[in-house]
Amino acid sequence: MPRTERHGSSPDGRVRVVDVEIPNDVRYIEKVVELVRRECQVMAYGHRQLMLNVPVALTEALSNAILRGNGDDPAKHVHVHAEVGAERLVLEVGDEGTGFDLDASLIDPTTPENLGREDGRGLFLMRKLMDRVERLEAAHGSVVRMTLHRE
Amino acid sequence: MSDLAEVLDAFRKATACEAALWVQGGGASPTDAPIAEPRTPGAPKLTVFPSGTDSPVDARTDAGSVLVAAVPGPHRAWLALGPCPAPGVDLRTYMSFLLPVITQYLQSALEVEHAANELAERYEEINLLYTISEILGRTVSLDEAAKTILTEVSETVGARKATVLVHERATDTLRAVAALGVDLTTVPPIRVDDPCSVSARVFRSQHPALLETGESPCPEEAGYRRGAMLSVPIMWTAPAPRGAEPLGVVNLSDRRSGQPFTAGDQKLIAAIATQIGTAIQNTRLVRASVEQQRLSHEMQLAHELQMKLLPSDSILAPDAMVAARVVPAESVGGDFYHLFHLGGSRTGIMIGDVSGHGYQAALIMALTMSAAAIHSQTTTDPGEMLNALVSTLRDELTMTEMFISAFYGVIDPEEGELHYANTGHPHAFLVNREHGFERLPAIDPPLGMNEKPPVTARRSWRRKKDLLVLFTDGVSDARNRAGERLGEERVIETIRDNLDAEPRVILERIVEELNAHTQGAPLRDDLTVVLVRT
Amino acid sequence: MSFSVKKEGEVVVVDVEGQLIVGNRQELKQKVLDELERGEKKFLIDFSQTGYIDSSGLGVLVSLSKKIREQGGELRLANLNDDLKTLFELTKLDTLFQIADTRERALQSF
Repeated sequence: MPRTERHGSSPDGRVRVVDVEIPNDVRYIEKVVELVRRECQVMAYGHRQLMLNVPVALTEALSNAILRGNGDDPAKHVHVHAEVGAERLVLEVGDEGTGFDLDASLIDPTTPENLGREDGRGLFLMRKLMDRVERLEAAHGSVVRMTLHRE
Repeated sequence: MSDLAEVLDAFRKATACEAALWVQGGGASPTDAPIAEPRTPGAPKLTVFPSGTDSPVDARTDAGSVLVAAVPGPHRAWLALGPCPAPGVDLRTYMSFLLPVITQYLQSALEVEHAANELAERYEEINLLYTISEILGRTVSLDEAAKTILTEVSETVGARKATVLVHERATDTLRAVAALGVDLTTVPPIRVDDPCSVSARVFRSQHPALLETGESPCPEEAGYRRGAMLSVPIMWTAPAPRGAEPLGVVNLSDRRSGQPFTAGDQKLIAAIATQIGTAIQNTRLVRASVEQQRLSHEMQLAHELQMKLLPSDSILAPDAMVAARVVPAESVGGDFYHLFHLGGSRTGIMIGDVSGHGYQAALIMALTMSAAAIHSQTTTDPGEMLNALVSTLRDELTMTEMFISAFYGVIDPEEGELHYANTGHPHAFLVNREHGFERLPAIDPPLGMNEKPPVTARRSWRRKKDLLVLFTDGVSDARNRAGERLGEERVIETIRDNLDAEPRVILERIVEELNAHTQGAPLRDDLTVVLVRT
Repeated sequence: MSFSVKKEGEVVVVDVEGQLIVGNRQELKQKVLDELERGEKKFLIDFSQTGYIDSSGLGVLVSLSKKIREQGGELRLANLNDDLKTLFELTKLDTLFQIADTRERALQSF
């Protein structure tokens, strides 16, 4: 029998959660980004964060998970967990791969010798656009967690 | 009938005697039946039609004397032998040979016809259920929905008069909200304790009534009863302790065919009455919300709507042992689960989450619940079911830009199989002692994200051994005061440690684990758990 | 999201509608390369109807600018909104591309 249990309110308890799993396919990135962005909009995140920080960083994390973490394997999955709070946003993107070392992939794409490169800007952008980026080990793969404080 | 003609031809050739089959036309009652018509062209006109129990009778016709016998069985048909050119033919002997052959033919023809009719009827029912889910999906106006549903239903069962009566608490009366074949404004309210009204009795007893021919002795319902009448209560299953309660009554009467209503009609109308019940309940909640116009109240309504729509986890007993719980957080989410009997010992289990929050998400959830109830009865293939579901909801999802992540599993313990479709739901597991936890990952993205029909996957399923575990992120994500999560691993461990216990007990352990972890810290999101074993 | 290609005088103008990201960047690349193969030399990509661009979208722009230059052609970008400008500044790509405020100015600059 379903039972209703009410929990007390608390000011920092205000949070909107997005929790979905998608097949490993870059075509779903835009829709998932929209889903998260809309929750941020409801929570009155700033224009710049809605138009730049959140969509670009999340797109990077998703394409990293799909193409690198999961090796573009269509049989794999990506788990997206977003907590949109009044103070901060926590985005977690989990894949089924072995992950990669965030620090080892630290190249600066803005130096004159790197500026003409086509790749290598993904992690750089995630770090620039989010307040914190970290990698966590999970039971079935790895998770990238990004945190952004609301403007 | 061509085979039959060949048989009669063969008889004529062998005996030189005429043979003809007569069948009563129309499907009406025997009293006002038209006279039987010959199935054999040029047969001499008959005036005598003995009943099935009589022995064959001799009859005189313009062409000569014939022997007539009723063909045994449900069909009203007669076999006439003669006249014969040569005198002294023993027609009774011929009759004793030919009659069983003809009976056999008619019987099998009748069976084929029945099967075809049944198929046609089922088709109409399925169509009707689709139409109703669409109506419910498009409107929140009860009167409009009731009227449209009534028109569709009456068309299907061939009723010219119909009413939907809804219980009004304040006056304790049944009031008509939709009527067909009678002016709605002239239908008087009926007191629930009215001793002569069929509607009042059906409402009180919560059991449908099938009445045969006759007019209503009650002036209040004389307007919508003529001949046979079918009266079905509109039931609403609320969470315990209230349980099932009647909301009103659906009446159908004045059948075009003049035939009484069947048990099949009653079953169909009962299913539809449940849908009308959902519409009534939705309308009540929506109306109340419009009147209040306050966000906090709106949220509370959404909560209530959400909670009221969830089925009791005992409804699948004894086919399946289910433990299910939704704990809503302060902000309303779109978590839900649903449970279905699918015929035999098959059961359908659904868990889902509507993206977005607040009243709109709760409303989409309500639509999803009622559409799923309909579609689960039209297909047992989970992928097909979710595809039908998203087709019904496509407009709403597009308009509100929402998605639904859902897992739908169908367990067939007889076949030993679990069929499932997973559109974006992250936490589904098949658990047993031998293989531990098998994740059943999302094969497709959340409903509304693409146009491709969801895929159905299969796993073997063993009674008493396998456990289906479904939960939403609110469970694994529950935080303590320090902000630490409970974590999926802890949930899995708790289940593993109690795997031999009943689902109900495992659920209690999970909740205990959860409470021990959160120590009363407020929940940040809805949490839903469904555990199933057969 | 789509890319419309049209000719204004001698300049091939591409409008990027929606996002330029990992899922659709190849489409843009192919469209521009087709025009380049046909002998076109002057290209303008207009971002007035663009949402956001990710690193792979930026990568395609860098790649196109190289290929166009190799063929002796020129690439201009126009109509970057403030957020897109910030993205180019963060990556210092604003120093790699010739960026005009409006379409007209970009067309005049060839």
